Amino acid sequence: MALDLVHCTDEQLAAEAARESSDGPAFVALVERFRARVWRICFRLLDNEQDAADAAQEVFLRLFLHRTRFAGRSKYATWVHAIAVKTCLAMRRSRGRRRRHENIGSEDQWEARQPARPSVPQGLSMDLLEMLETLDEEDRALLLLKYAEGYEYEELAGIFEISVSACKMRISRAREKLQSRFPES
Amino acid sequence: MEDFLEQLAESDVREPPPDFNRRLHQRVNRTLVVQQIVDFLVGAIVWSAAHFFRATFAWLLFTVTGRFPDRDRR
Repeated sequence: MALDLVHCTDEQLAAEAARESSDGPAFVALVERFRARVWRICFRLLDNEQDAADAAQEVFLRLFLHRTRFAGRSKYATWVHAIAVKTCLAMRRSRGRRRRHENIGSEDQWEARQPARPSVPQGLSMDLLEMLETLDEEDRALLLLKYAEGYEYEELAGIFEISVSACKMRISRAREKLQSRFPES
Repeated sequence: MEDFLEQLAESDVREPPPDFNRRLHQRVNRTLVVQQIVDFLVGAIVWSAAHFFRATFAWLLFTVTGRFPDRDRR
């Protein structure tokens, strides 16, 4: 019997996609369901349209390649979001390494070579983004997902594979760090 | 600080590029092709190793000892 791709749960779709040999209807339906959410995570964490597009494609490619590995220990959505966050963090780290590697000349020359920041989200001051850049990658991602995307602590705990109390603690400490570094804000 | 961070939610997120699905489909297909070629090559190596085992063994033996294994039996 054919699966009703519109009304079935994410987990049922994932199980169907795991049976497909290529990107068949179930996988395409999963992409449609998660495209907007994955895109938002990638765009928030990478704050660059080109990198976000690359990362979002990488996320769905990983989902496709690992489609048989979903074990059902968490919700499928949590699993997808965790892959998106890990992919973005890995991209940011490699981008940072590449920049450091390219930064052979002086800081001024390097700054002059950089193109203008292409896509600062509208309505958001650069100050706030720069403040977040001073945090470590995971803390920054936690704050962005909590405050920009409105994730609950329980969801974040599942995505970052930590306990809910540890998640609350990390967010609270990240806020304190920001407060101590930028007391005037 | 709490209010300050709440500003993050006010910022817009752009729409994904219009050709996102097409590019993803191409990327998945490219990956599938590469994966199938690798699977084929790995399978072919195992098959040929098994198929030519006796010949390879004879060649190695001849290289080391200077004798063909079958010649002694005749």
